[in-house]
Amino acid sequence: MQRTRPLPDIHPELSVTEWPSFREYRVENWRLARDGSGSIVPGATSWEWIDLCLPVVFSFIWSRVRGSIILCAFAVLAVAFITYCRCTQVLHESVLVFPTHGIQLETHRGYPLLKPLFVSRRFIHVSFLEDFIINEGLRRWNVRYYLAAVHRSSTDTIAIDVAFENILPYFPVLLEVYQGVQELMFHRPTNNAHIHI
Amino acid sequence: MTSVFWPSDVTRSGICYGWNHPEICVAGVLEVEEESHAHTLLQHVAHSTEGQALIKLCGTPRVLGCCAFSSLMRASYPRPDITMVSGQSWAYPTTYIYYRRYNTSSLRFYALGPNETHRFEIQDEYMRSSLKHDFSNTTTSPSVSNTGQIMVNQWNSAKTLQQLIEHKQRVPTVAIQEVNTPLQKPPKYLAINKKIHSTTDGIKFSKSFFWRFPSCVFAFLSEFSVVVQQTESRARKLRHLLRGVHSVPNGDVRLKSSQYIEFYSTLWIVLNDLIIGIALRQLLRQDRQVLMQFFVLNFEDKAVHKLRQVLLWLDSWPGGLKLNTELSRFYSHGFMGLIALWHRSFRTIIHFLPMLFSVLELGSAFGVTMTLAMVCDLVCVFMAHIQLCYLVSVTVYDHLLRLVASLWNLFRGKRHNVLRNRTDPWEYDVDQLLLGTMLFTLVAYLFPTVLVYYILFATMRVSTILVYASLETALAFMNNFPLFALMLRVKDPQRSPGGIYMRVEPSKDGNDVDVCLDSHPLPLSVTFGQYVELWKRLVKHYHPFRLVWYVMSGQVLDTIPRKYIHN
Repeated sequence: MQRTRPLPDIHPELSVTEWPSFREYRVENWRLARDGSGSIVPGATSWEWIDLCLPVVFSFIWSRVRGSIILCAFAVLAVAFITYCRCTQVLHESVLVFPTHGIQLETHRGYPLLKPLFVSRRFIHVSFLEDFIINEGLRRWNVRYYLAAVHRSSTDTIAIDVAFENILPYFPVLLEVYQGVQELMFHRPTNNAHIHI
Repeated sequence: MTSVFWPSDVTRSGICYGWNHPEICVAGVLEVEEESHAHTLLQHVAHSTEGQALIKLCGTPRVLGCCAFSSLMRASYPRPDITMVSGQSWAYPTTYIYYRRYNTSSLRFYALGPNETHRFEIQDEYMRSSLKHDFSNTTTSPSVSNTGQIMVNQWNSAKTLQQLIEHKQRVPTVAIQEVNTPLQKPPKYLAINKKIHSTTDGIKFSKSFFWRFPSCVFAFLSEFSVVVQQTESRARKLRHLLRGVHSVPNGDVRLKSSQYIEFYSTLWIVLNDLIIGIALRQLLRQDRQVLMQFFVLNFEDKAVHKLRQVLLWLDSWPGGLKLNTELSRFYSHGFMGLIALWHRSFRTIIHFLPMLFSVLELGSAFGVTMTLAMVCDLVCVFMAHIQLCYLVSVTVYDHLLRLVASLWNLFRGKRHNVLRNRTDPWEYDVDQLLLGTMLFTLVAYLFPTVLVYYILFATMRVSTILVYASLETALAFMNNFPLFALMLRVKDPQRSPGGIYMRVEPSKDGNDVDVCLDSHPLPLSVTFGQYVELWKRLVKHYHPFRLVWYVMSGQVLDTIPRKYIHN
């Protein structure tokens, strides 16, 4: 009911919504350009220049394809694959925090101008949730940070689930979500003075 | 803001009852005027046997308060005004999380997660040690780690509780019967069932010689024959089917559902098998003559005459390779003698070929798995000569390899120390060295001949093994395919749940959201879990690299042992 953007200058893609029974941290699939110009770099696009080349290519090969069934089937499959790729782009990912029940990690996919078509959700009950941490990941020469929910399954093995798995936002966003979850789920208010990054 | 779990199908006002530990979960609403009436009803239910079992799973139900629905509400989900019972001051507004109450007989339920076993073992170790050494974690770990399971039990038993209370309300004096018993069997069937089980148990455990001898022979034969293995596993399945579905009293609905699914899964597999088998039988019947002609013409030609030609070719400097004439002649004549022996017996068997086909047809009436098993055995029998020649040549090759290895050590002045399992330098006498060197040169010159014949029979054995492996894979496929579980997943995903999630929907009046509890269907990796396990074992045994290594090192290639497939 009440939607705020806690980092409006550097990361306006993070928005926090306070509902009566839960709090939603939503990260949308776009970001501001890192050069300070304020322009938006979209992560999920509704059309690109390569989509215009598709009818051109199709019109060239149509005369050859029309004869054989196999090539026709192959062309149909290619078109279907491209449509599928376009329609399953990640629109936004969220972490829903239900204070005494658990957290839910969601990924909404679909076509960028419409409502989300596919939603994948993962609910972790509070009795299984061990901790909610920011992990450091090494990828080539980079250090990337990611949010992880450490939980135990019913067979008592410990596993981790990554929040915002496809978008992988930057550290200030992660810190905001981390502090919110720690406060709500584990009642540990994290003091800002202790964070040295 | 407290959240209350409210059943999504309850829309009447009255006194609400349910559980308030670990979370407030309303099981139902009683339309009575006073709370004391509800109290007495709940106490009666709590004292009955059904109620006791329910309490053990979910905790004691209590009266939670009274609720009222304003008649103007037209929301898709009920929004009662609920006032809680005294003892807790409920000044906080409440939000609702809606869940569905399922009837136990519908076999739908919520579950916290599939019973996965042993995934992420390495990750588990790392995470465990990192959690142990995490000093920034000041709160102690929650000792109530089964609150999730208790809540799931509460959601699953809410409907049962409501039925118990309503039954008590209607007929206050009569004791509560068992509410729902699916698959009730008439007593005569039970008696027959019991008799069958006692006879089979008697046969299995009897000490008398009359029953022990055939069962020993049976166990011995099942090492060699796939048909026997298949009959045994099919008999076990049928026995399991005959046992039927026990009615689990007072619903652990999960157990009941898994028993139900297992029973029908076995039934479907068996019926599927029979149907495809009967279709195959029709096919075999119609094309009988064609198949027999095909078999008679091709098999003898390829397996006997071609082999003889190849052996003769190997004897006479194959491809310009100069082999040792005497050894080569000995080998080729020896093998040709073996093949001729087998050929003679094959000639006598060939007269019985029509009968063999009739047996095959009869077998396929018992299912396509029986046909596959018979074909496996026939492959073994008809390739017996190749197996024999292979065994001979692999023994010679193996011995020769060991000899060469030992003499090579001698050549370098070393010796294999059996006690310590390593190679030690060793002083040989001159005559030992001389003898060793002579033997080494002998073996080195005879080796290509042996190698050539070994390669021939090893390739034939590998191709036979591959054919056998594909037949075994098809057999395992037919025996274990989880068709019923897949169909159930498509038809009614709530009957095979694999985890819960909260679905957030915007409500009709726009501003608010409704949160509902839903189930994920069981993931495919769990449905096919046993199947993947079986496939892994088959691949591990028949892996091409493993076969090539065995061929090169002279170890005997064998078919997969029985205990890996038929569990």
